[in-house]
Amino acid sequence: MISEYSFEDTIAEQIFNALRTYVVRSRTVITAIFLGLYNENEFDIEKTSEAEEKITGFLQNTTRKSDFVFKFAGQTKWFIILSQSGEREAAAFLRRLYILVKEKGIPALENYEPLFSASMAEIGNDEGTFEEFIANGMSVLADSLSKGPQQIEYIATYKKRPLEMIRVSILEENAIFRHVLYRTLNNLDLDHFEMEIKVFQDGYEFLESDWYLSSHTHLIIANDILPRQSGLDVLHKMRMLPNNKRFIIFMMTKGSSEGDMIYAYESGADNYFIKPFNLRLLEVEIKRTFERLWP
Amino acid sequence: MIEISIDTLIKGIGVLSLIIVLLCIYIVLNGRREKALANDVRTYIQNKQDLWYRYFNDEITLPPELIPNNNTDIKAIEKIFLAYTQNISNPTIMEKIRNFSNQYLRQYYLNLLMNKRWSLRMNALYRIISFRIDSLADECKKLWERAKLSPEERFQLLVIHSIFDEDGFIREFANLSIKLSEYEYRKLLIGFNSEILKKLTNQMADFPKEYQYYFIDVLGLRRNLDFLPFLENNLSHKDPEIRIRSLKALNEIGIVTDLEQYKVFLSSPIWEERLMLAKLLGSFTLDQVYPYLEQLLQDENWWVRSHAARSIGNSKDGKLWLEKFIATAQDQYAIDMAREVLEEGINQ
Repeated sequence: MISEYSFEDTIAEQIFNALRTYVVRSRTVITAIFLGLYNENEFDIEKTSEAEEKITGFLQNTTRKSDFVFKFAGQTKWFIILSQSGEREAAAFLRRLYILVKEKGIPALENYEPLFSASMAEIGNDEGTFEEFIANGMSVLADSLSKGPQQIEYIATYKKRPLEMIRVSILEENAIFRHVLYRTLNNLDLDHFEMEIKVFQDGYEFLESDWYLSSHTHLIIANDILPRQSGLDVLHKMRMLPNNKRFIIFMMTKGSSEGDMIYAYESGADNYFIKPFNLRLLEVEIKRTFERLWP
Repeated sequence: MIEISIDTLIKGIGVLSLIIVLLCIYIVLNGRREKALANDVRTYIQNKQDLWYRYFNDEITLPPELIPNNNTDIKAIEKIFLAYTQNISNPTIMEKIRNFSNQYLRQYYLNLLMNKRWSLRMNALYRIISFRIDSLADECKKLWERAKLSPEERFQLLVIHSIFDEDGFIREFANLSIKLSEYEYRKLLIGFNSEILKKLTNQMADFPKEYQYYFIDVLGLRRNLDFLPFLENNLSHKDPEIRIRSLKALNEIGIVTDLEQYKVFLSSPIWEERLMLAKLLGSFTLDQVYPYLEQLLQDENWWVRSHAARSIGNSKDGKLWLEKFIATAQDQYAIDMAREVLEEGINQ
């Protein structure tokens, strides 16, 4: 497919695709902005390319060093990639930009007050081709420009995050409570994550399995005292593994002292629940932990 | 010499053999019975635990199949309830357990309460507490009147009394009719909520002396700021043990409101008071309290010196203050202590 849009800088597609691949890997969204001039016809035709250059320079200075600004070839439109920003941050950036241009204008661009409008897409996955994405963004930008100056139109199509599989291990000696924990977690409704849950009666059974050897993010909920090998043994062993950051470890205890809790936190526990505890508390802690995985 | 005829001997051996055989049969049958019972309990749990989970989580109303038909069902329900009460804190679930136990388990535990076997009676008492079976409160009161009761039973009955008749219990608490060990007394107090403890502070003066000490210790363990005025008020108590324990409890809470009322302990003839002060001063910034800690660092008592040095060392810039002290002080014992704490810090 031959695109009707091209960039002055041909590296735009490569950079965009590289960042988009990293979105899933790093669980950090990026946002692409399509920026156009509402009052394009007020340009002095003879000075168009000079003015466009100045606007490009201004946009580059206004964005962060980790962001990218590309100009569409033959058009007074720009493609901006804000890395590590969701659409909320991107909208705030655009509003700041609109105010800045209105109040101070663009340096070295006298006799012309540009009025921008934009479309934007938060990107949470790496699906679809670059050409389709650009065509879609430009089409929505046209809608935005037709509505007036300083408009922002949102494109939700690319926002959807991929469903991520997370492993969950429950290590609890009491079979009834083990079942309660399993049922509770199984009923938990999580956005963007799917849990694969297994239960173990002690640390030995868990460590003997090859369940923890996968590269998935792995939530372990373990009682501190268990027959054969304890939850603390499991904690130490997991934290000794390479790439141990993928383990999120919640400890449970019955009447443990603060000293024990401090020791567990220092050994790498991410959370500590003192029995008896409210299951709703466990649920919200798990939800918050998973939400934090996508900042 | 005793003469026994062979006939009698054979008969005797026969009778003994018969007894042994009968005993063996009994043991085997009993073992089988217990195994079968354990299996039945396990089967019940496997089949019904999901239903219980749904009932406790308000997904369904109490289904008729959860109502126990026999003692095996009750034993299994007991295990399920214990797993919930020991691991999960949820007022709705607790209320459901209480209601269910009052309605369907009451008679079972009443029978156990009246049983001749001590262990069965104790089990009943534990379950009445765990499942909050308040419909048995009157029976428990009657049981208290019995002359023949073990101390363990009396203690559990006291706990039951405190749970089901809070006001009555508070009224009678100062004059407990049984003697409790330190462990039992603390255990009893730790089970109380802060409101009860607050009410009891008004009556502490009426408690037997040693109970007053344990009571103050438990207030410290609670780390509740509401007890701060009461504990600070005790600092001028005439009994040194009350003052020391109050200082200890205040140190546990970790917040000191007014430095002035603690300064008096700087020159206390009782080293434990100076020790507790050395610990407490760790709650302040060194700008505020260094001169006092420096004085305590040169105390005649090793413990006081040690804790004063630690309070300095654990404060912000404390190591610098200790180094400065070592460079300028004359008291060799104090210098040694400061140096020890500094080295410990470096080793850590």
